[in-house]
Amino acid sequence: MTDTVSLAPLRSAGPPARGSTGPWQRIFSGFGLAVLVLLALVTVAPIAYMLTTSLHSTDTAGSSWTLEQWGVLFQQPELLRAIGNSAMLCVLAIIVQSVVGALAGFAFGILRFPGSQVVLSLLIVMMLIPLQTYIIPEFVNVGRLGLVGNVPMTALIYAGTQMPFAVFILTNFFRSLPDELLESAVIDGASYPRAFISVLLPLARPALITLGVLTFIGVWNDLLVALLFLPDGDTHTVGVLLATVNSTRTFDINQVMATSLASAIPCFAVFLTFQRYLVTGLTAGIGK
Amino acid sequence: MATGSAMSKSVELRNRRPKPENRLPGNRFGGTRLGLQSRRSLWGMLFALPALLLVVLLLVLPALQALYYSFTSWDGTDAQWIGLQNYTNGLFANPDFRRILLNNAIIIASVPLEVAVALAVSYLLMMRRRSRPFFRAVFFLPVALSWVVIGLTFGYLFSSRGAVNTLLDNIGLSALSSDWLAGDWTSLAALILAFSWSYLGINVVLLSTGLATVDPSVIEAARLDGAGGLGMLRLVILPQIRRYVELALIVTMSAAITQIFGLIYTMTAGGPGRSTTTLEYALYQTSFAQGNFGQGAALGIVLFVVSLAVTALRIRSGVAARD
Repeated sequence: MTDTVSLAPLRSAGPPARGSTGPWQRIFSGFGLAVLVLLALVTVAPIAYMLTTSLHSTDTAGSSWTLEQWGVLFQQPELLRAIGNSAMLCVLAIIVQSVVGALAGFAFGILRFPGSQVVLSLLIVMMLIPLQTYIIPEFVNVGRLGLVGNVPMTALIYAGTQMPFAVFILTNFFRSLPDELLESAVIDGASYPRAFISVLLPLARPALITLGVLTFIGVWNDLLVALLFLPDGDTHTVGVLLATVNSTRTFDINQVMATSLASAIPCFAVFLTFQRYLVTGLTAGIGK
Repeated sequence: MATGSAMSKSVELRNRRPKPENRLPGNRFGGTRLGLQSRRSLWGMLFALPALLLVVLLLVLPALQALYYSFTSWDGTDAQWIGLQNYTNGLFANPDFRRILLNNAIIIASVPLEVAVALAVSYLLMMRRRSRPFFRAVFFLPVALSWVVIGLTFGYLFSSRGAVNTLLDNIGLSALSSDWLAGDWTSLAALILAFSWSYLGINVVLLSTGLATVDPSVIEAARLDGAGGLGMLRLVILPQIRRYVELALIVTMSAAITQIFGLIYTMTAGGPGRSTTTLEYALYQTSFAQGNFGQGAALGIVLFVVSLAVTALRIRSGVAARD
């Protein structure tokens, strides 16, 4: 790119600009740092509170530190089962969304059948309807099929309701690829499915990772859908388990904070690993 | 162009691409090209089908049902057509509903302030090369926490014997301490605070991405011309990152009205009274606690209209920006 060109004036202009720093600019800079530090403290404080609370127990409140809460964490069968359910939901939703979304992205972005762009516009408009608007009929419909409490069905709901967004991202991605990729594969005798799987799909990896990360966070942290569609104890997710902990008899703030922090560890890990994909997903649709 | 009339339509639809079929072997033989083209279209339709099926069954159908049932008294099995009653008697004549709308309005109105803080933070970070990664990581920490976890934590923090009151007592401001989540307006303020706390990181990342697209030479030129601090932000930088600021506003507003069910559920359960109930929470309560699905469906339609209004702001400003 033009990095060297655009950075050159910055470098040459650096020293004089620093030299011209007046007292006002220094005050502004000091004030700015103070604001940043203060906001950082406010941001960290609740998390520090969670951590210290999780490292105490009700018997030793305020007095001594203990790893007791974290120690018993993984001896709780309900929590382990909930983690399993959440993980299963995430994996299934991501698989369905990636496969179905990539096929559609390929169809709308590259193959482009007659009328496809009209259908695509209609599909994208669906992104404007909030989930809550249609969640009640959805719940009744799924109930009629006898599939409330069914983990794969719930994963399908996550994937289906996010499908317009997935198709939007993947279509944009496939559109950015040169048409020659498909053409040359087809001339070489590959069928369209073959060309899709071996030539185009591997290139879509960044877009699929972006979607996967967003879906993982969305499903892992969701409450509403899981609360409605997985109401039984043995299908509870981590979110539902935590949200309903207030009403159970084993209510223990130290334990709840330890569980809360533990439940966020997968998200922290995903964030650290895939940070740049997340930014791509957040700003999707802006830089075209 | 030597295309048959049957072809021209599909060629038109693909007009944003070069016309690669002109380079295909058998180009001169209309039949072969048409065969290839229609095979391509068939595969396209086939590949789009699963996504369309999922969206129609899991989104479009229930959305249309919601619209229909919003005109009925529906309890999940029986539905009697009652016209506009769910909207007139059930909502707009109901003081509870007016309070719920007011809560939504207050939450939406607080968003520009939240984005302004995030913009200030991003701007301050832009000038701090060395400490930037550290601060960004700190501000992003809460983003990994689910609304359930944030709601539980802030519920404890603002409870009558919680950390906030302990802190106020310790710094000699006991007079200010109160049972935050029991108060009509303090509970709403605490909820908004919890929301803003979590969303600062997302907005900082969004706006920092925008700031990174600003041409450094423009900033240098403005600096040499004597611009600095807030003047630089307002006159030089803001116009260049307008789209990012708008995106931050929309993303945050949409989240505030459609995505914080988990936060409300665990932090205040919509209370005391209706003081922290928003449309999305009222919809859940009305439908699943009171079993009034028809009324809940009407709330869902209102929520759709409100979120459409928020998004329409963006579409309008997007059109304006292109002019």
